[in-house]
Amino acid sequence: MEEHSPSTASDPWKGRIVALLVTALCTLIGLGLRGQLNPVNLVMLYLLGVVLVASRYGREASGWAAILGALSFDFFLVEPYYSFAISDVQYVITFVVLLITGLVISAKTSRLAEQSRYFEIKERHTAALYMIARKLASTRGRDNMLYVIRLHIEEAFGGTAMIWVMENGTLQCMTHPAMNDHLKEKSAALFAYEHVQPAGAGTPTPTGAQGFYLPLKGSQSVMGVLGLLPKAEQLLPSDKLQLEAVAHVAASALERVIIAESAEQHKIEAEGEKLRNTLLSSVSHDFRTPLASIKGVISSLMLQDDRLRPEDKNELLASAHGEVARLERVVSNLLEVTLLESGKLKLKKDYYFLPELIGNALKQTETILHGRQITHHIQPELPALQVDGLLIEQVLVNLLENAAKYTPDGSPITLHCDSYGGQVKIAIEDTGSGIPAGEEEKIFDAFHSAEHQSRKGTGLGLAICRGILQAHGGGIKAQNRPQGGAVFTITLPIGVIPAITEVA
Amino acid sequence: MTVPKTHILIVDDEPQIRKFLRTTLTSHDYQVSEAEKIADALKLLTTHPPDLMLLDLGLPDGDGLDVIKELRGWSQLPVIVLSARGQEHDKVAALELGADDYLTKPFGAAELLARIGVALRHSRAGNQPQPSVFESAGLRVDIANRQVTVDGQEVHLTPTEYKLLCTMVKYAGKVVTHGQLLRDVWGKHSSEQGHYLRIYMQHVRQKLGDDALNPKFLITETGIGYRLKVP
Repeated sequence: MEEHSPSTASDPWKGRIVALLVTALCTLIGLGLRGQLNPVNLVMLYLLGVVLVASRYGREASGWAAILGALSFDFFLVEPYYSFAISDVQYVITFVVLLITGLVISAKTSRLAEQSRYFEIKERHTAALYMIARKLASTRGRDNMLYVIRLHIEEAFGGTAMIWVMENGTLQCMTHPAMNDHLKEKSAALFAYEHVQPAGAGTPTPTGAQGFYLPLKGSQSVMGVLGLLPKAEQLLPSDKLQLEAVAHVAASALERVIIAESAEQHKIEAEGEKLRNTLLSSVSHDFRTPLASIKGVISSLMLQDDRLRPEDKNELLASAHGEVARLERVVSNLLEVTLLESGKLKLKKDYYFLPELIGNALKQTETILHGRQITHHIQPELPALQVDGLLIEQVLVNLLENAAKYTPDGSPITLHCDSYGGQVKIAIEDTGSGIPAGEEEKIFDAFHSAEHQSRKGTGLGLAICRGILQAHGGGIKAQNRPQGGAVFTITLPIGVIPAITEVA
Repeated sequence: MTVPKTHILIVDDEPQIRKFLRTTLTSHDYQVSEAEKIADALKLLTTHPPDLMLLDLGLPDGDGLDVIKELRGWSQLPVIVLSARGQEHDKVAALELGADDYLTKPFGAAELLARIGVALRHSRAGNQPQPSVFESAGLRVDIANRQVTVDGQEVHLTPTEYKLLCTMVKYAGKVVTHGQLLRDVWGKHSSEQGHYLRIYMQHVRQKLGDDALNPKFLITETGIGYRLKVP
């Protein structure tokens, strides 16, 4: 620092020239006053010059000013003039005192100036450190953070800032991937990472690297390595200290974000795992139950065909037939849930009258609704709806199947269908035990019922209903009826149906 | 001299499906030949022409739709398309290309035999004059006299409604796509006005006293079109 204060280091000649000019000026003034004042007083002029040069141009320049001043004083202002010979011994003392005082003042003054410059830089560094700490505190995500750190260092120090992070077992330069091929730089970075100490240029580590590397020390472990390829040959010691401070701030910020990200990742993985497990167990249940019954029927027919009474045989076949239909619905629902989840469900909208769709849904659930009284109250003159007919049919099939599944055999089901306020409303009422309190919303979550082992089925059906209806701009809700049983209510918007004019 | 058996060509790459079709059809007195690829099917169609073809749309060496396209260039052979749920687009495309009907996999034997029966009847009637009276479940459409009755009661239809019902009668038992109906009833350029058809169909149903929840006459084939039930 003291040897390299910016102006003297950059241009020593400037200081020397100024020293010469200042001395010349003092001499000119001295020449003007020569003879009027005691030459001892003129010494003060030169001392003033030395102080001025020292405050601005450092020790070397002010030293020159002191020497030049002493010589000029002797040459121009002490008799005999224009000679270095000194006639009066008292001026020998004046000359020596001027030289020594000049040198001492120059040393002290330039030191003071350098110190104030040092504090100025230090203050600037502190402010910069505060800035980066504040920026990092408001940065989310590792990659954003790396970018902020890099930008800050390059602005504050110049050169190229690198951040190296351990990825898949090797240290990788995240900010400049090309650096991964510079073996000298990479080994210096690795040294800093492994030994948790500075490495590279200006350190005793024998790597021959041009960059300076600092470990990013977190509270638990080393987060990575901060590297700087400086513009100048070497970093100044003060810059190294400052860079260490930045590295400290960057490391704790990185640690915070890495811990947060890994916690998030763990949470996502755990939930994905849970979902996969419930899906697997419920889907295999949904497939296995009908398969078991179908296999049973077939094996029984193969084994004892001639011993079975025709009515028993028909009953077995009918049950296998029903189970096949159940399998078909499971497959349809799985297909739909995949489309809904992936966001690839495209509505093929067309005009339908609700009774058509309800009729088809009832036809598809004929077997499972067998023996139940199905009542319907459908408002006459319901407007046509613009919907994906197949998907709305599937909603109705799922709701009817649901009603059949959770209510005793033979209990009645009632359908209400009416329109109001630009919407049609379809309500499917049953007389079963209703929905457990507090689960009116949860039953529409995928796999909800699968989480309750007492329930039957994947619990996909209702989630699909909700997905399909939402895609149509409609909705679904479940409630318990005051007189017992559950009611599922679907709403669908009535679009604008173009008017027609018949030429009859 | 024995009457030659009706010959059905099965084109499907799934051996289990072919086995089910073969067993069901031979036990109902049909003669069966099988192809698992488009190339084999096209060869059989020329060397050993069948009376009807059951055609799967997804075949290993191409799209079943291409078979229909090619076939319709030179033959009116009835074609029933086999396709999965959710492929309504393909079914409509096949029907518009000239397929006679479709079956959604998985289907049962009764459905299969009924569809084959209807398709064969239409193909045999194709060469003869259209019967002037259609009757099914109490509905009677007398085309010569432009008279429609349900259980003996006369039903008054507007000219468009009548034309719509007559078109359904013409294809009785077969599925008729929305596009086909629009072209037949309203003319070539009406296929944009899909809602016309739904509303007229609704009027016809109401006038015939057909319950949409449990239709006796006009069935909605969701995503495809309509079908007039046959006895």
